[in-house]
Amino acid sequence: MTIQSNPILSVQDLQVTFGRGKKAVQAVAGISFDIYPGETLGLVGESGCGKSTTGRAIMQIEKPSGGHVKLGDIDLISTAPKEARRLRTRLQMIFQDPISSLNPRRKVRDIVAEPLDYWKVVTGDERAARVDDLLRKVGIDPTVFGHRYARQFSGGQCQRISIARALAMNPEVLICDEVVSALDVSVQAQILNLLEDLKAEYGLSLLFIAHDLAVVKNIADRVAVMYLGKIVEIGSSDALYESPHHPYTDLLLSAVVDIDPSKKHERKVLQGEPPSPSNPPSGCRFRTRCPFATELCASAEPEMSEIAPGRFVACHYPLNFTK
Amino acid sequence: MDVDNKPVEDTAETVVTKKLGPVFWLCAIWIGITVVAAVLAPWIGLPSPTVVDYNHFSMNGPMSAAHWFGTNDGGQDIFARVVYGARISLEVSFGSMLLASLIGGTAAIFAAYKGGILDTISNALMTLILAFPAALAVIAILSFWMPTTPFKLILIIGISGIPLIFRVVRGATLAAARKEYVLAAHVQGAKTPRIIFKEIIPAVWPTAVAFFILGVASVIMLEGALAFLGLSVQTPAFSWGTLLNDARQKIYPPNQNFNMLIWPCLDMVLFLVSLNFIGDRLRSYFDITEGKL
Amino acid sequence: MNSPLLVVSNLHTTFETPRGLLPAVRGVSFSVAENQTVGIVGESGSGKTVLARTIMGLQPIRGVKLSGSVLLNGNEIVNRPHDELRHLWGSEVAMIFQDPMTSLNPVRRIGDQIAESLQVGIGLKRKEARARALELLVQVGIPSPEDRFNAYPSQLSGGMRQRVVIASALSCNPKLVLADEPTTGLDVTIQAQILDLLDQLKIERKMSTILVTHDLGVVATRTDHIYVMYAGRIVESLPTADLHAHHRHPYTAALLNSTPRIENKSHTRLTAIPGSPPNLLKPLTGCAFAARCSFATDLCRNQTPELRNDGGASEFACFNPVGVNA
Repeated sequence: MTIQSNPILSVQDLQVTFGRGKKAVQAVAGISFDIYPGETLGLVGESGCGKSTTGRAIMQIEKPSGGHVKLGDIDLISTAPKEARRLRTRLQMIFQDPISSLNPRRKVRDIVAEPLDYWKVVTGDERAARVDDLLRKVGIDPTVFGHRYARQFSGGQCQRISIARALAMNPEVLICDEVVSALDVSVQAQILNLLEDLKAEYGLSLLFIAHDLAVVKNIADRVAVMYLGKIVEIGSSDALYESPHHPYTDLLLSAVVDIDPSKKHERKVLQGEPPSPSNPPSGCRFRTRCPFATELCASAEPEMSEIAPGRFVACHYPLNFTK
Repeated sequence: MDVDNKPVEDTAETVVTKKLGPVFWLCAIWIGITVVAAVLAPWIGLPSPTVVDYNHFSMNGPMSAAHWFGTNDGGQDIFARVVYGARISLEVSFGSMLLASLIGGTAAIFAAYKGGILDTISNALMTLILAFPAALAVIAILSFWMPTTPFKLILIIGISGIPLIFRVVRGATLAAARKEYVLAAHVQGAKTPRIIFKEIIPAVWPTAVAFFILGVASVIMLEGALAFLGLSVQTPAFSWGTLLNDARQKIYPPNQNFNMLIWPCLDMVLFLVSLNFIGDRLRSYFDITEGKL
Repeated sequence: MNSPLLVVSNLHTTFETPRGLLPAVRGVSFSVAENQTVGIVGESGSGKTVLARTIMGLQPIRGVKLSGSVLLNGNEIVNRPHDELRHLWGSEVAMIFQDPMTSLNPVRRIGDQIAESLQVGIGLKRKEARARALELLVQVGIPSPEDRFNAYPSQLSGGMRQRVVIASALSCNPKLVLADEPTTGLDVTIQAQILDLLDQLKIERKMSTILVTHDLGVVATRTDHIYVMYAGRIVESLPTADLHAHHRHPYTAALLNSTPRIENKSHTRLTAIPGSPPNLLKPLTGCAFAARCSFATDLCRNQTPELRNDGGASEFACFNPVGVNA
């Protein structure tokens, strides 16, 4: 797909630190990526890698401790709170737990209309029409379900309502934080298809955060892989999954099982457990579990470099790569 | 595009109307009657609770058409005294709980929602107040600050009740604030006051109301205890507590006028049981379990 | 051929709820042989967890109606009080639950918890039990087991906790292990480690395993035979090797088609199953999947299909199966 030159969302050297002094933990230790208009960037990694924190930091839910997050030309971090609040209409987020994402005591129509009411965008008949239209777009019939309370819906339906609410103000960027992880496979497929359709219809750009590699491959144009607060590799979905350049990506893919037993591949086992984020290894953070680590990996942290057009990797000895 | 148009019956919650139950309404009616009677007491044609009725005079008189519950040792009509006695009991209990709820509840919502240093300080303060045995503190203060008036009772009991309400509302607020729908509202750009009014308070008030009602019940009992110590309102004012205390002091041979004891006692007990029942019932009725996955 | 280790016959589990009777398991029959690993796969509401707990004998006595039979090595489990079943738990059959944080007591050290199950299960003395517990920690791959013996569950990672749970469950050498979503919530690399561990242990100890999960990938690679559950019944039963190419039930097909796969190119349109599972509080006529099935006919809506075989590897409960005979 054609990538336009100006990214709609640009993250530069983002850092998020929790706690203070000796107990400080750097959940996100300086990451950079761009999302171009109309594309879906997948952000994958295992638990503790900082992917959810990244999403929340971009949304300004967590306060970043450093770096820049640019929406178009505006830096979200250095913007005054009042203007930053306005910017929230351009950037929206959907969360993991569909049930607790909606106030169980409120009616569906009111939940979806909330942003419209708050920003006083439309009133009266136009408001009702807009709400009903949004609900229809996400596959919920407003005449049947509009007046029902949020607690009366299943997980998949709740997620649809959350999506409708997020789209009410016509945002440009949608951050999806593990939005299908809590859903059954068949419902997951419905929601993924829905997101693809809405993305095309509304011209959205998506940051899709998930731990399920197959799901991310399905929905993302490009994928960024995170490990222990850092991005280790970025590339287009097909290329990255076909031939990963970073050893961690390779091992991660190797652990994914496919439904077709005949496709059984030689599994390379990733040993041990991830180190604690409060005390990351020196140099390359992955070196303690990497089968190819050398002294260089311990002493020098690899920089993210573009080793092929659109392929970025942070490794001293990238795989499948000949200079 | 898959449209999720299933018939209404197939949504996650099969329609089950949560009923409060007939006993609930019975208790609610009893409470209603007692409160209304207390409020409208001067205008519903009761005999005077203080002035002795010399037309139908009798000391320690039996139950009769003129005196439904009989008379006490001073010739005063017991029925009227029971109905009027509710006035002070209710004034003190509702007043003090209102004070505790307004101060404690508001502080709790802000402390819990904002978190940080505000929360830490409020918590420390509340723990400090809780460390003082409330009943003893109330007794001590009232002993020195005579004479007791309803206002003083409301003030002192109210303040001592703040930490309890604070704790309860704080817990409910923390639970609500952690939900992702609050985060979603924040992310849409809503400011704190709006979030508090539209998302937090609706989630918190049912619990608060339930504890309010239970609190009213325990203050009525506290007032009763104070009366036994002579620390409640002084004659000619009277409350259920003082009526009971009166009875306790005055009933000994040869005075066998149990009417002075039974009727205030019964009225108070029935009222307390009703309060407890509806407080508890409301708590479970408003416990809205969220939809199933 | 030895008689099967576990025989489940026409099992029904019905819950008495304020909203009415909920038949979570509606007539399930299957068997597990010695040394066999069986997968029960289904989505939420399929009844697979209720089935697992019923087989284990864990359903409460009140509020639950059971009928049918579960024979474990000749012992009947259905409608037996927990007192009588206790001697089976641990030594004949063990269960690994989904969430290690709640299946381990957070205020007791892990070594003690494993030792306790040995003392209770096979009556070892305290000293022996602790020694054996330490051995088990080694067997399940806990690093520095002597140090970790006295750790609390909160001090271990999710993967480590699950290993402890496995150690505890397997401590008395049961012949049958029921694993209910043992790797859900764990990272994919840790998931692989845990499943490898289970594979290794079941070979070493010659155990039979029932793996209950919603993850098709897990059953496809770790089991010998698969049962697909939907709305409280088994809708398909087939050898794992035949899952991908020779499945017959439309639900199985739909499940396979709606799962995103790494093999597929990016943006492959998934075939979602429209609608949602039926509400089991309401009486059902006909096939439970008919409302969502693209091949449903009037026959499907009026008559309930039973499991049948038409010469292929799969047994399926359907009047209009997909695919052809193997």
